[in-house]
Amino acid sequence: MRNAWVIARREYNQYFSTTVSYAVALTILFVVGAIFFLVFNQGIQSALSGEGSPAPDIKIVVEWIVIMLILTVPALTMRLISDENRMGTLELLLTAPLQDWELIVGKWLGGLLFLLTVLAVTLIYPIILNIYETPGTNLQWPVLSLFILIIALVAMFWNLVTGKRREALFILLAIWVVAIVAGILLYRFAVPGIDWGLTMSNYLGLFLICAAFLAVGVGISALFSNQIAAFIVTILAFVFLWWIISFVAQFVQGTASDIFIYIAMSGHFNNNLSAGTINLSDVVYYLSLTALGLFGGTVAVESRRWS
Amino acid sequence: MIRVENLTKDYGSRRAISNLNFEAEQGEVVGFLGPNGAGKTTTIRILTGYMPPTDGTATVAGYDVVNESLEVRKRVGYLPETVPLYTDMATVDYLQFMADLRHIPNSRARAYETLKLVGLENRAESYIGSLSKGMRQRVGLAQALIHQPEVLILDEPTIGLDPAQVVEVRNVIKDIGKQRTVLLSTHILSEAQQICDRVLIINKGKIVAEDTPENLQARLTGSERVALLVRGESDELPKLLGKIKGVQHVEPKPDGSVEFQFAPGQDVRPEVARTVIQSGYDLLEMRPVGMSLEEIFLELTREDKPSRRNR
Repeated sequence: MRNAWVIARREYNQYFSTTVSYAVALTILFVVGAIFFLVFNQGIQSALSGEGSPAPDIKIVVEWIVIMLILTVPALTMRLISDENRMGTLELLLTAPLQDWELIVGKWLGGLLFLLTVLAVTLIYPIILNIYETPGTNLQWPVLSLFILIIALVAMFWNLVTGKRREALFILLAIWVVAIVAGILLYRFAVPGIDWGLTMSNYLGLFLICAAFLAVGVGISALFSNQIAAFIVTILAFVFLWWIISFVAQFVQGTASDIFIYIAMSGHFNNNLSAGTINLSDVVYYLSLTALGLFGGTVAVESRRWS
Repeated sequence: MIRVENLTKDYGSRRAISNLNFEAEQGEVVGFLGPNGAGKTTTIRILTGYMPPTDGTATVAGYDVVNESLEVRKRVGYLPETVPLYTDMATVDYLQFMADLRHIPNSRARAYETLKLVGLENRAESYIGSLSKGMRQRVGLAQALIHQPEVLILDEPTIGLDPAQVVEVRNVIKDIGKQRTVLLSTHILSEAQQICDRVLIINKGKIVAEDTPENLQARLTGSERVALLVRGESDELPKLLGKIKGVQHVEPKPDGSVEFQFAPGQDVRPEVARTVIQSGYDLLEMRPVGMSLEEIFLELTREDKPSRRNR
C-alpha cells in the first residue's frame, strides 16, 4: 500500500504540471460557476419579487458537476497507464518492487485526490447558498467569495506559467481554507440555512461517482498505448453506463428492467443520493464498480507481461 | 548471483530465445553481445522480472524470477535500452520517486548522492526533458544504482554518450562490478574488452560463444586471416593461392588486395610468400586482418563451421 501511495503522490504532483488537468479543472469550475451564477441570480430575482418560490439548493451545482465529470474525467485518466506504456516508463515500474495492483491503485488514487481538490473548490457554493438563506444577510459576501474564487484560479494559472507548482498549490489551498473558515465563523450555518444533510449526501454521491469513473478510466487506460484511443473509449463507457443503460431500461419489462436500472450509474445517484437518501446498496454499487475497474486495470497490466 | 537454466521464450510462434544456459558470479562483469533481435533484451527482461519465460528457470540473487519476482526486483538495478524517463519531472524529484518506490530512507539525500555519482549534481533541479541524451543516459544509470543493488542489469549503457562520458560510465560500471554482479549488453567489442570479465555472444536466441574477451579475440581474430597486396594486376592471384595446401577462403577485395585464411597452427605464410614471388609478382604487403564484430557474428553463426563454436 505504501508503494501505491508513492505512485499516487507523484501522479497528484504531475497533474499540477500538465495542461490537460488545468483545462479540466477550469472547464468544471467555469461551467459550474456560470450555471450557479445564473440560477442564483434568478433565485434572488424571484425572492425580491415576493413570489416565494423555493430557494435554489445544492442540486443545481451538483447535477452539473456530474455532467462535467462524464465529459472531463476521461481526459484525466486517458494518459495514466497508456502514456507510461508509450514512453516505455511502464517497463521501469513493472521491474520495480511493487505489485501490479499497487500501480493501478496508486494511479487511481492520484487522480481521485486531484479531482477532490477541484471539487473542494465548489464547496464554496453551499456556503454562498447558506449565507443567502440566512435572514439579514448582506449579499456582498457571496460576491466577495466569488472574487476569492477568481484569485484562486489565478493562483492555479500562476502555477501553470511559472512551474512553481508547490507554491501555487499552497496559495490555492490557503485561500480556500480561509474562505471556508471565514464563511463558517461569520454565519455559523445559521437557521434556517440550507439543508446540510442533503448537501453532504450529494457530495458523498459525487465522491463515489468520481471513484467509480476514475477506476473505470484507469482500467481502460491500461488497455491502450494511445491516449486518444483511451479517451474515446472511456467517454463512450461513461455515456453508456450513465445514460444508455437507464434509457434502455425503459423499453424492457420485469426483471430485465430491474437489472438494467441497477447496472446504470445514474439511478443510484439521481433517485437516492441526490435526493438525500443514503442507502447501503447504492454505496456498495459504486464501490463495487470501482473495484471492478481497478481489478480490470490490474489484469490488463498483468496480461502485458505475458504478451 | 545470476543463474540461467534452459531459458526459453516464445512470442506467439516465434522463438526469441531457446535453451539459454549461463551463470554470473558476484564481483563479475558479464557482457552480453549480439546483433539486433538476437534475444538480448528478451533475456534481460526475463531476468528483471518484466516478463516470465515460456520454459526453463532463472534465479537472480538466489530468488526465482517467476515465483519470487518481487524479491528479485528489490535486488536488481535495471537500465532499459530506451532509457525511459519522465521528461516533465525534475531530475532529483524523479530519482527521489524511484528511491521511494524502493523504500529507501532519506530518499532525497540519496537522490542527490546518486546524482553526484553519475556527475549530474549541477542538473538536479533541471527537468529531464531539457537534458541531453548523454545526461539522460546517466539519469537512467542513477535510477538503476540508487538502491545499491546486488545485481545491475544494463541494456546498452553507453549508447549516445560522448567519448569522455563513455569513459566515466565505464569506470562507474567497473567499480560496481568489483563487489556486485553486472550484466550488460553491448554492440561494441572494445567496450566488452575493457570492462567485461566474461563475454557471452548470443545469436538467434542461442549462446554461440562464451569466453573472456581476450580469448574470444584471440580465437576469432588475429593471425589466422591475412591480406595480401601485390603490385599491378592481381587477377590470377586468387587461383594461384587456391592451389597452395592449407589456404582457405580466398577472397579478392575491392581495393585490389586478396584475403585468405588458414587454420591455426598451420602457418602457410612462408609458402604463400615464396609462391607469390616465384610467380613473378612484387609482394608489397602481407598483414594479419582483425575481425570486426559483425564478422565474428557471421563466423559464429555459419552453419557449416561447427568447429568455431564453443558449445
